[in-house]
Amino acid sequence: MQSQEPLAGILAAAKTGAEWAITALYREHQPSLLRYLRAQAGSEGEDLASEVWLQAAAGLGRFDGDDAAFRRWLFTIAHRRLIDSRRRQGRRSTILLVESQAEADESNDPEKRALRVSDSEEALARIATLPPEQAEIVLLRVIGGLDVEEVASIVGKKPGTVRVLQHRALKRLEEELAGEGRRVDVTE
Amino acid sequence: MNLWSDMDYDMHPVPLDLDTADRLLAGALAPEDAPPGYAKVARLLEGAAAEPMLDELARETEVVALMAAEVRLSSSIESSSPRASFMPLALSRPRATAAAVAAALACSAGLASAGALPGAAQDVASAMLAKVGISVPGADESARDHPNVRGSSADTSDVAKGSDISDLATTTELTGVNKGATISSAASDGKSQAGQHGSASGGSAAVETPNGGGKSSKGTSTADTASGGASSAGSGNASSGKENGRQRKRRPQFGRLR
Repeated sequence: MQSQEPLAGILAAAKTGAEWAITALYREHQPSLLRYLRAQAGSEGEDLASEVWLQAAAGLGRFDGDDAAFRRWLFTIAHRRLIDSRRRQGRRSTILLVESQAEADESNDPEKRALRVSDSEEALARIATLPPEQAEIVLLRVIGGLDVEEVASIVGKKPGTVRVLQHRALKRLEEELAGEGRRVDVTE
Repeated sequence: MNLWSDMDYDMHPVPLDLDTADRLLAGALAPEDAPPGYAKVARLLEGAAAEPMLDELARETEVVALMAAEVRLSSSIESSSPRASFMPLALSRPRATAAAVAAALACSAGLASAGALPGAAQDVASAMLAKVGISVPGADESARDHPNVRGSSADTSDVAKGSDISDLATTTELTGVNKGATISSAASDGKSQAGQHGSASGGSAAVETPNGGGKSSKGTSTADTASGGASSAGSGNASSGKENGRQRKRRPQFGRLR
């Protein structure tokens, strides 16, 4: 089976333009890449993801590394694309957040919202409410599957700073979720 | 002993330490093992990293086809510029440029300090280096005791003299060595000893100059006229040009070594 090829073989084949190998790489990494971009750029995330893949394809011949290195490289490209996109727009896109908020307002039922917290889109929308730096770090850690050092190199910060920012992010999420829980209790 | 979930974290908040935060984000802590208050956070993080959804691969066919084309295009571009890829990292373009500039500056400074640059360049180098505290001689100083023999457009005597010599060369009825000696003597104000030593083997026969391949015939024709065809001036240039052409063809093709 081609999809069970060792990754080194898949990467080598992808460098020659073999579509089966490129498909394998795409299926492996596209979901997390798209979530990372959607959470921060909303509906523009789909286009950004395609741009990331094309840029990766253009540089694939020069890439040298294993699967972890490839993932790190892909998210580095995505991070830079996101920065370019924000510069173009001159504002941080929160389309996804706005859309999710509208849905939540429709139901206006805190208990149902609490139950849906494990839903992927809802979770991403929640993370997107964090300050941009914190949201980016949490998304790279959780969705990108990257460790502190890798995230630090991508966002251009020291590992210690990343640790502090991710700690603040979790505390903030905990406070928001706890606040909602308390509001549920009061309404009952 | 109580479980985390049994504790009332609202009454006794447990601070989240950096390592626990790290483990939560790495997915190493299940919601039930999370510190008080962080079970929901753990569930939320699990949700964010849930299994892929079908719509996330909606553009697969389109993007993969574009990627394959891009990979092939990129590899063909890279293979068509082999010198760049053959060049070692230490000699990449910016470094090579910087090295060339540094070498040129060092070389110019050395020549300037030796007073070996052409006059105008020596003046410029002297002025520039003086600004950074380095003293090198100017064009006039480097000339030392050599006479200033540079001509100028105001010197019409040389033009008139050239014209006279040209007239003499075309109107004299002398031939061969005698013609050459007469013209040479006139041109050098009698200092030339041309024709006084040795003998011409061919007499007045014109010698064919071997500079047919040279681009310029100016020097040859002037000498040819002045000497009645006995000059071989210009042949060196022609020969040199052909030699350079051959050397260029012999240069190795680095691209084929890949």
